[in-house]
Amino acid sequence: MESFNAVDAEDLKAFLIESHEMLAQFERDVLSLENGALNPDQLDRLYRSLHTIKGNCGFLPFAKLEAIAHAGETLLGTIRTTQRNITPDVATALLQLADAIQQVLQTIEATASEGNQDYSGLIATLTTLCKTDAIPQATITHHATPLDAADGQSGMPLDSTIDSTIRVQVDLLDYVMNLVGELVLARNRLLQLTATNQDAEIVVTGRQIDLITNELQDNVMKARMQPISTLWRNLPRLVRDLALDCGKEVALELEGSETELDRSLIAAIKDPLTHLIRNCIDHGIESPDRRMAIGKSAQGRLKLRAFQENSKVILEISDDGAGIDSTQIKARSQQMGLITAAQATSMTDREALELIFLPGFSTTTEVTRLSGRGVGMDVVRRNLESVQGTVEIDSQLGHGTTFRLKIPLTLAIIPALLVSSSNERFAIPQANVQELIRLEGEDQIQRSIETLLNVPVYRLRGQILPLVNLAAVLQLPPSTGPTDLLYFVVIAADDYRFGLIVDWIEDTQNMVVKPLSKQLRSLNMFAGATVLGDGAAALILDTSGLAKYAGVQRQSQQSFAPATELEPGLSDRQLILIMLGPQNVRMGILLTHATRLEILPSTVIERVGDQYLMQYRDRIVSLIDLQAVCTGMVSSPAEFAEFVSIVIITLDGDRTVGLIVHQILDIVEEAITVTGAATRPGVTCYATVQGHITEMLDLNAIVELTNPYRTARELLIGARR
Amino acid sequence: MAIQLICTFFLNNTYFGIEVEDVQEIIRQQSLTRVPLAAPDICGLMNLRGQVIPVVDLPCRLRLRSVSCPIGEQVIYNIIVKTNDDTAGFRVDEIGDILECPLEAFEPSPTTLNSHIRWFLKGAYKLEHDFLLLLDSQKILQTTYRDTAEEIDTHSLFTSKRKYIVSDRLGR
Repeated sequence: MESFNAVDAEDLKAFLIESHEMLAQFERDVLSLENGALNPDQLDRLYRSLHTIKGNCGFLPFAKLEAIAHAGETLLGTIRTTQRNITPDVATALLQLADAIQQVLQTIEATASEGNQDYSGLIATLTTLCKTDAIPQATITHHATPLDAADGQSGMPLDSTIDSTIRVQVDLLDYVMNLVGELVLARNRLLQLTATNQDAEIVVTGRQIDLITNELQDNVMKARMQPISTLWRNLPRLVRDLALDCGKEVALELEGSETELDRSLIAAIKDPLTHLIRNCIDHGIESPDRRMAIGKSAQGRLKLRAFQENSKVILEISDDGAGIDSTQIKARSQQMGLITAAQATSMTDREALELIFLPGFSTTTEVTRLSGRGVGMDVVRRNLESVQGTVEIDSQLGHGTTFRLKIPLTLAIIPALLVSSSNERFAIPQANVQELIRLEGEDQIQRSIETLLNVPVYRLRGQILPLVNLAAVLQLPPSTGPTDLLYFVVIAADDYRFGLIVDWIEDTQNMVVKPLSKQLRSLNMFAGATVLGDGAAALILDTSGLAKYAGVQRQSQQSFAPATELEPGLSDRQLILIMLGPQNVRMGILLTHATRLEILPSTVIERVGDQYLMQYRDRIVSLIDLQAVCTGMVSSPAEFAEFVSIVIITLDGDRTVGLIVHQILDIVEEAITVTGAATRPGVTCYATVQGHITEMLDLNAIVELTNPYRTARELLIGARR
Repeated sequence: MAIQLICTFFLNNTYFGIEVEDVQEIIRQQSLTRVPLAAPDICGLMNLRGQVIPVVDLPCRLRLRSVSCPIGEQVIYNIIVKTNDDTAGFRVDEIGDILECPLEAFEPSPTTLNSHIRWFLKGAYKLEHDFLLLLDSQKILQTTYRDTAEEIDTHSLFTSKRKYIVSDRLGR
């Protein structure tokens, strides 16, 4: 066991699966060679499989297995060179060899060691066979016995790798997936039918089918997915070797290795990824001396980060090396005649970086810091494009380079928001949806929507948000909905942020993303299609494609950068919930404390003793009237307005209370500027938020205040279900 | 005698066919989801048992008429054409028989035809009274609508306007 600790369990599993597969093929080949004439291809394959097993053993501590495989390899090598036929003796020996390897593999699998079986006899036989054909039959049978006996002793391990995985054609999985899709639709119809049915048995059966279908769908999906860690497993070694070759020190960081993507895509991005890593180490990260000289740590940092965004998996490869000098790129491209001088001067740095993806771009002859950066970059891009992916580059001179690969999940379930416009339904990937806004009343709509340079805009918490009408962009007939209601979805995608006006917002569902047919690929505003619950097909919007088509301006690079640069913990900007408290005073609390905002009819408020309580989501929540806290005026339940705004607050993890406020105003993200000390209990400080004086509340103090006899805690605990 | 099975149909009263190997199935038109901004010959998207495929108005793609996807009272059939790399439904006016055509009767496309239609054809089978124009499945799948629409007067292209009496043998 000890010999084995260093070996990665994943590696071992992969080794076992591969070896088992090769052995099965090995046996078939030996048998067919024995029956027919010598087939050089088959012989090569036999030789190769033993060679691979032997080679793999070199990385793993299996000397015995290596010796057996080596003996077999030598024999096959002799046969290959002498071109002699495989006699039954040789075939028997080879099959015994396969049995022996099989046995060792099973022992390894069961006990994680090679076991104590002695195979020297078999090795001797194989060695003798190399010299002559004439091997006494007895020798072979002699060795056959201990093998059989050993089989009997150890028994077949039941839980073996060979049984727990099988290879399945992706086509078959696709077909099963489609069948599951049909099943989901049939299920949906069945549920609609059972909804009106009185027969309890039918209803129960319907629900069972519902549950089973969901599980089936999830698992078939999973069957096609592999974590990206399967691709990353070999990277530490690759990085180490490359760093040694280049005389650099590199620390590899991997983040998001559990991100899953389709098996076929993992294979497709393997080469581009390796290429980019090589580039980062070779040309990005500077030598330790150079790094020390410019004040960086001697060890360079190479970071791989994978995460899912909409129907794409994003894979970022970033280094903290020298970065790419766009001026040099421009100069080089001009030299090579890829761009004209005029183009070079009018080009932005970002555009210049894109030049390295041009097919002709190469700096191999030029010995500069960026030499080689462009070599094969066009291949990287082409490889990604072949799977509908993209590669972007971002580089800061002196600070490093980031390559961002976007790989689609052709078969993924994404949560998406279903909206409708002109009676057509569209899905918007939930990851692009920031918030939903409803404006009521023609007055308010008129007032809120301004026109700036012919573009309708909405001021969302002080920021200008361009508005796009979905029906107009898609040239749908204008909607005939009510004019005193306006819904829009605030969308953020890539560098775009805009409000998308729709007629109606339905709900968020998990949707199976289906690729669009080739016939419709030119429509960049659609990312794919899906099948809705009622069986109709619906289009999934590609939000950045839509923004481009609608002519939404990109947000400037500068305003975007700080948001991504800042670590969440380091930012002093906080989300603050602004509300109107008693006497129309602006009050604020940190949004991290508020779990939900509710506007409820005042009939939900019940009075028990001196406490106000309400039933909320299966539990009893005690309510704190901010007015009573601040002014001491306790209202009776009848004195509350018809509807009350309640902020549900969670303190210390699981203490839930409701704060009755006059009005909930807004949520803002701002750094708090303290402008004065608190003047009354329950208030932390005065601060300026959005240019207005705002009292920042101390929620713990308020809870204490409402319960001078400290009964609150017991009451809260007692009230919890 | 070698025989080719051809799935036949009518477009603007002209007799067309597709080799039966490329036809996955023939279905009645289901409700479609419109695709905004798509080419005029795209009628919409259809959910074919969990697979989302586009439905193309075939007469429109062949420029036999310019108005795409007319909505009428009659039942409309879609021929689902499947090749190695794409699948689409093609809307046709009327479904014909599956014909057994002897390969001897196969000829190159008649040169009297307009070049736009000829582009989509593999050739023609000379029948007893008329021609059966054989469409190239790859080409009708891959050639998307180009904006150089020209009016094609099909009636001037064909001397015989005889309409075939079709027995509906497709099991409906």
